[in-house]
Amino acid sequence: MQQEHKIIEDVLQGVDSYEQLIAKYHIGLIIHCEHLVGDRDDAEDIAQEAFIKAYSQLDKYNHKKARFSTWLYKIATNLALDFLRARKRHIVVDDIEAMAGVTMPAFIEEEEQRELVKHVESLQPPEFREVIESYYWRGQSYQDIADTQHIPINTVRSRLRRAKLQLKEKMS
Amino acid sequence: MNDNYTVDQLLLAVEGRRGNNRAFITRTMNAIRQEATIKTYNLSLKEQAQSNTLLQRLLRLPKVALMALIIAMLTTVAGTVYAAYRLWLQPEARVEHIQLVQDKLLALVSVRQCGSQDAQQTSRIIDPTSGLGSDDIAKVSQAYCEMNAISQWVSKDLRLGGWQAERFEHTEGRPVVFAHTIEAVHEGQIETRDSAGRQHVISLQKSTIFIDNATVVTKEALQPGDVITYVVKDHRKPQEGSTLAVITLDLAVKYYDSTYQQYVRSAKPCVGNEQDICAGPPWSNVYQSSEQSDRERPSKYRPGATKQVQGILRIIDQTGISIETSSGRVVTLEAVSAIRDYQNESKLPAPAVIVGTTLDVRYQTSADDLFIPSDKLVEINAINIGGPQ
Repeated sequence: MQQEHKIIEDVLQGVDSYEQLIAKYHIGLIIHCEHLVGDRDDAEDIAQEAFIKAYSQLDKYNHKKARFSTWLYKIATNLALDFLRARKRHIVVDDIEAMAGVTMPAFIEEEEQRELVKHVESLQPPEFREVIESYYWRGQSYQDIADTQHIPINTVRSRLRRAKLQLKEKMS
Repeated sequence: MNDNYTVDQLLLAVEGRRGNNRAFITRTMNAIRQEATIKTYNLSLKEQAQSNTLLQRLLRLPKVALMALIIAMLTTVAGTVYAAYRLWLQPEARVEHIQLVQDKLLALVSVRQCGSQDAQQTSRIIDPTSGLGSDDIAKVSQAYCEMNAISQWVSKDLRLGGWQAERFEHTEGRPVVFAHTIEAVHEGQIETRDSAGRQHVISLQKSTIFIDNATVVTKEALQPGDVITYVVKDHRKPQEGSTLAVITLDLAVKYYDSTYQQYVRSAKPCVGNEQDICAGPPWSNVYQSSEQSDRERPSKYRPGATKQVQGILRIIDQTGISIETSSGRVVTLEAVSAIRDYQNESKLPAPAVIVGTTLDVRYQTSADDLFIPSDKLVEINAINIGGPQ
C-alpha cells in the first residue's frame, strides 16, 4: 500500500512509473469490464480508457478517501455503464461495487502469495494449472486460451471453474 | 489463507509470477504518452483512412465468427474505410507507368498525402544506371514525401524556432535525408549508424518523445534494426542538446539516403518551354550572370521573368554548346567563354561541362528559344542524372 502511494507520488512528480500500476491492475480490471459489457475487445478498450482517465486525473485522487484500485475500478465501471447506455443496453446488477470487488486484487502478504502459487502448481490435472496461469497471470482471454491450447472455449470455462473449486478446497 | 477474499482476488494479487498482458500494457502506455505529448505541445491529430484497425480486430475473432463476418461484409459493406488518428498523414506512392525519354526513365507516380494535396500524380526522372525498379521508385518517392511530412510537422506542429529549416532542408528545398539504423537502445541514449556507415549516439532526455507510425509510443517500441530520424534543439551539438523526438521511419534506410534520393528526381514541364520535361534539384551552379546587378537581375522565380530549358549536352566547341531537350529540340547556348570566365572569376569548384552532362538553363524571355546569346543567359546549372550518356 505504502509502495503504491509512493508510485502515485512519483508519477505526479513526472517519474515515468505509471506502468507499474497498469501491470498490477490491468488483468483484474479487464475481467471486471468484460463482466459488465460482455465482450473482451470492448472490455480492453474500456479498461485502457480508464487507465488513461485515471492518469490524467491522478492529481485529484485522494489516497485518504479510497484505495487506488477502488478509485480506478469506479472510473472503469462508469465508463462501462456509459458504453452500455450509448448502445441502449442495460445491465441488471444488485450491487456493482460488490461486482467490482470480485476482480479487485487482494492485499495479501508475500508469504500468502507463495503459498497460493504452490497450491496452483499442485493442481491436477496439469491443464487446470495451465488455464489458471493463462487467465489470471498472463491476462489471456477465454478465446486466446482456446486458440493456444486448441480446445473449445467451453472447455476453457469448465476447466477454469473446476480449477478454482479445487483451489478453494486446497486453501481451506 | 484469508477468507475475506474470493479465489479470483487472491489469484490476481500474486505478483512476480505473472506474465502480464504485455500488448495491453504497451498499448495503454503508448496512449498515455500520446495524450501527455498532445497536451504538452498542444498538438492536433489527423484522421487517416486505413483498414488495419478493422483487420486487427477481426483477427481476434473466433474463426467461425470471422468467416461469417467476412461473408456479411463482402455482401453489404464492401469498401467501408476505417480511420486512424495520427500526428501526420502517412504518404503512399505507387508507380503508374515508366517510359524511356531521351536515355532516361520517366515514371508517372501517384502519391497520396504528399505535400498540400490529398492525392496527385507527379513525374519522376530516374537515373537509368541506378537499377531501380518500379517498387524502388515508389519507395524513394514515398520516403521523400515522408520526410517532407515530418519536416512540416516539426515546423508547424512542434512550432520550433528557425533552426529546423536548416536541419531538415537543403538550400533547394529538398528534405535532408538523415535516416539512421538503430544498433542499440540504452537507458539514456541510443546508438545508431547512418547510411554511410558512421556511428552516432543520440542522447535521450525525460522529455524526448518517441513516435512510431505517426503516433506517440514509449521508448520500448524502439528496437535494434529500426530506421529512425530524430529532432534536436541544436543540431550543432546533437550530443549535448535536447533530443525532442525520435521518429521511426516506414522504409529501409537506403530509400532516405541522398544517393537514392538523387536517383529519383521530381520532373515538371520546363518554365516557358512546357513541351520539355525539366528535372528538379539538386543542381550544381556552373554559370551565373554578372552583367546586371542583383537588384536588376530578373528573378528566375518570378513568373514570366525567365524561361527554363533543360537538356543533354551533345556538342561543345569553341563558341557554343548544343543541348538536346526531352522533346528532341536542339538548343544552342553561346556559353563557352561565359562559363569559363565565370568559373575563373568565382574560383569555386565546379562540375565538368562535357558531352553527356545535363544542363538546366535559365534565360531571358526576350531570347530566341533555339539560340541563346551570352547576354541573355541568366543561370546555368549542371545536373548529375546518370552521369555522361
